[in-house]
Formats: sequence, structure tokens, C-alpha cells
Amino acid sequence: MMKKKPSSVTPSPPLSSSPPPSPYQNDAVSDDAYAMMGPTLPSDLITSILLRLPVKSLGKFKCVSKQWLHTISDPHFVSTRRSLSLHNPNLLLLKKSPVVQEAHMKKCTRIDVCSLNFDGSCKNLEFSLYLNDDAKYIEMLPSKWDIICFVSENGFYVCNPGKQEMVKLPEASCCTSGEVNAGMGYVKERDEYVLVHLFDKSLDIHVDNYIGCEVLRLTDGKDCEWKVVEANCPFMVRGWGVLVNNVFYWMFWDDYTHPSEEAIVSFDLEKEEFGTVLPPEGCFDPHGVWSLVELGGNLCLVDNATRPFTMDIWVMKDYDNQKWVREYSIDLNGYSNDTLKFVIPLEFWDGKIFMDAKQESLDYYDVENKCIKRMDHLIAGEWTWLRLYTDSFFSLGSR
Amino acid sequence: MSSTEAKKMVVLKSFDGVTFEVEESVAVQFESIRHMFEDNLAGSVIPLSNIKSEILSKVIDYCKRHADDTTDEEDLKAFDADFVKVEHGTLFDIIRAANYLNIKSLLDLTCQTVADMIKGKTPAEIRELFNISDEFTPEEEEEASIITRFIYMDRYADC
Repeated sequence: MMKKKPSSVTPSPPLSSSPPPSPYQNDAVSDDAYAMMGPTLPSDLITSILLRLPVKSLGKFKCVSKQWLHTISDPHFVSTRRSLSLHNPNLLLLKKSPVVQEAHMKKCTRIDVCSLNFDGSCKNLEFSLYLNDDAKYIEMLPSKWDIICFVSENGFYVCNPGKQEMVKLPEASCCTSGEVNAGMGYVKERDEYVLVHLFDKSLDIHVDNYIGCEVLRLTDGKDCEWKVVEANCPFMVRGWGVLVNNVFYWMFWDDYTHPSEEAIVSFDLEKEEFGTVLPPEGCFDPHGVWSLVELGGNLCLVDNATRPFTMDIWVMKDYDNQKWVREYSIDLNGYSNDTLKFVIPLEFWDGKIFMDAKQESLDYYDVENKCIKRMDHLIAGEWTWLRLYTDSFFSLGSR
Repeated sequence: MSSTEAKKMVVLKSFDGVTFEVEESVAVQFESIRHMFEDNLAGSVIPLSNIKSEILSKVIDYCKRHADDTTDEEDLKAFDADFVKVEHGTLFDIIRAANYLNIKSLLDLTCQTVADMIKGKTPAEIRELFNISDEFTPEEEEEASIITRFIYMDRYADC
């Protein structure tokens, strides 16, 4: 317990959700007691402060005192902190650069990671990761939670930037074409990350268009493995898989020019079955530029192509009847021609659609006022990837 | 607030006996004592027996500014940023008062300020700041720092 704690302050349950007792019932504190108090706070208020600290600081502060160690390690604290941080995303900027290890002449990659508060007011962490892979083959899967995932020719890596932990995932099935089709999503109900990997086995001459599928589930602190599912993916796909309500979605590889044909592949994680989805009626994608994203828990189709300087975002409103609604039409006149196709919606949050305008800025579209605001003052210098991210204790275990 | 209506006033009395007359529209932000003046106790003096006058006056300032719906968001942000530029002992007093009076936005603001202030500090600096003398035994310190080290251990796991 803390020393010099005034006896009149009764520690209430953590998080101070209940109102404090009526002042009439509270004993008055004597002058002496006030003088003695010094700068201390009751434990529930200490908890309120600790809940707002980054994971990195909390790790450090476990050795402040037994009380603090106890508070920070408490499972209730950890879960409350997580739900708070989900409402307070950070920005994660990542930059990859090739490194040559002189001794082995091996190609290596350094990834500089930097996290900023959402308003850019302060830098939360900065560190570098090293991968024994050629920089040109390293990609990063879309994500907006505590865990980020890199994929290269050598496999998958997951990283919790908050804890500065990174591990290589178990070896995935070999993909003969070298093209990686994968996706990552978060299933809130189970606090679980799901990775899906599509791999072609086209060298097998007996089977035409044979695309296998494997799934890996990542839970806090547990081991994980890839599980190959029985179903095969019936179509070639492009882009990263997008997880919504336990179903992954990809765009077809082929252009979409014929009405009433499917354009999207789905994979139901529960049933382990593939299916297809129709795009919005009357829309076509002859140059293959549509992309899929998850915004605010909905599957969205982003169309930058149909109308000049306009980004139409179609939201899947009815999954059973595959009904799309054009919910947002964003005027992109403020962007240069070169940037246009790299404007990618990241997340819908707080009435705004946050967009990554590749290597230039982070912008948001204010849905109510229908205008774009540029947040480029946040970020100086180029980055390879930009993500929203939440800081958490999620442990990648001892793999 | 309609200006044609007579403004209801509430009188608050600090621990050191100073009274403050505030508009009800300001005092309603004090969630924990709200019922007292809502139960027709307006006019009577509400004693706040563990808030010093110096702190109570700051808290009232804060609530006045936040009750004024003519202030725009930018100004309010600037006010808040300025408001928390105080010595840490005062900040702790304001946190205690905000908690006692149950003023959520002020509690959020001040707790966040302390969090931002301490996140880069060392455990020793934290002990001093929070007046904590509850040290670990050497064995316990070792155990706690093992947990801490583990967090950083995997940083270059792949190299």
C-alpha cells in the first residue's frame, strides 16, 4: 500500500465506475492530514491513469511497487485497457529499407516502426525490426488492431509493435507461383486473429486451377499452426482478403465486364466453404481496379474508376441477398492523377473515413460535412505502410 | 441556457471555508452532488469538505468554460491545454476533486495529462512523483524486472 495515504480516502473498486460517496458522509480531512498528503493518489485513480499508458511504459512500471505490479498484471485491468485502446487508435508508420550484411552478402531488410498519437501530438514508440528477407518481396497485410503481419517469400511474420515482439509463424504451404494471396482479420468474440493463405498447386498437372487454402488462428500467448482446409478456392483472386463477420472476401483476378456475374470470392471460416458474391448492379470494372476493405465492420467495395475523380464506396447491407448501397461518394479533386489510385480507405471511425494517400498524407473524409481534411502535418517523411493500430498486451507466445 | 429565465445559483463551500456562488448550469456538471440542488436544496450551502478553495476555484473555472456553449471547440482545446499546465501536486488535487465531484471530462483530461507526463519516466522517478516508498525486496525486484525484460526479449528474434 502507499504510504501517507489519508485514512478518509476509501479505495473504491478499480475504474471508479460508481459515483463517489456523498460528501456529507465523507469525514472531513483535518488540516494536518492535508499537509501530510503530499502528492499521492488513491489506488482507483492510479488505475485510471495507468489505463491510459502505452504497453511499453506499463512493462517498465511493473517494478515501481508491488501495488503497481499487482494492478498492471490484473486480468481485469488488461481487458479494460484493451477495450479503451480500441477506442483510441494510434497511427503506425512503417518504412522498409534494404540492408546488406557484408559478412554473408545476404539480403536483409530493416523495417522502421513509429507510432504516433492520433492527433500526431506525440510519438509513442520507435524501433526497428530486421528480417532476413529481400526487401522487395516483403509486403504487409492490411490490419487495424494490435497485431501487424508481414509476408515475404520465406513466410509470415507477426509483430506486436506495442510490446516490440515479433515472431515468424509456422511454415505455410509452398506456393509455386510466388504470388501470395492472404488475408488477416480479427474475430472479436474469440479475441483471435485469423490468417488465411491461398496457395496454388498449378504444377500438379492432373488438376486444373487448383488453389488450396489454409487457415491459422492466433490467440493470446498460445501456439498456433496452419490447417489446410478441404475446400479449394475456385477462382484466381487479387488483393488481400478482407474478413467481415467470419467470412473472408477477395476480388476475382479477372476484369469484370459482364452483368450478373460474380466478381468476389468468399470463404466462410465456420463452414470452411467457398462462395461467390455479386458486385453492385450495373457497375463494371474493366481495368480491375476495384478493391475491398472493411470499414466499421462492413464489407465495402471501393470504386475509384467508374467516375472521374470520385471514390464511390459501396457498402454490403444485406449479406443474404447480396445487396449493396452506395453509401459514400468522395470527391477526390484535391489529389493529383498519380495519387488517385493509391488513396485507400483505412477505417471508419468517429464519423470519419480515414484514408491513406500513399506516402503523401493521412487524410480523412468527414461524412457529415462531406469534405476531406488533410492531416499531413502529422507526418514528415515517407513511409512504406501506414496503419491504424491499437496498443495491447497481446502476447505472441514463445514460438 | 435561456437568458430570460432567472439563473439559479448554488453555493459551494470549500474545505477551508471559502464559499463560491455558481450557476446551476455550471454545478450540474458535478454529478455526485447534483441531486442535492435538484432536490430543491438550491440556496443552501453545499459543503465540499475535502476540496481546498484554490482547487475548487480551478474546477469551477473549468466547468464554467465547459458549460458555455458559445465557446468553439478549438478555444476549448486551448483552454484545456492551458488548464493542466500546473505543478503535479496541484494536478493530483484536481484529479481527486474531479473524481470526488464525478466530473468525467475533467477526470479524463487530468488523468491523460498525468499519463502523458509519466510515460517516459523511470520507475525511480515514478516512485518519487507518486510518493511511493513501497520498494521491492531484491528478490522481488529481480522477479519484476524479469517480467519487464521478457517484453523486450523478442525484439530481434528473427536475426
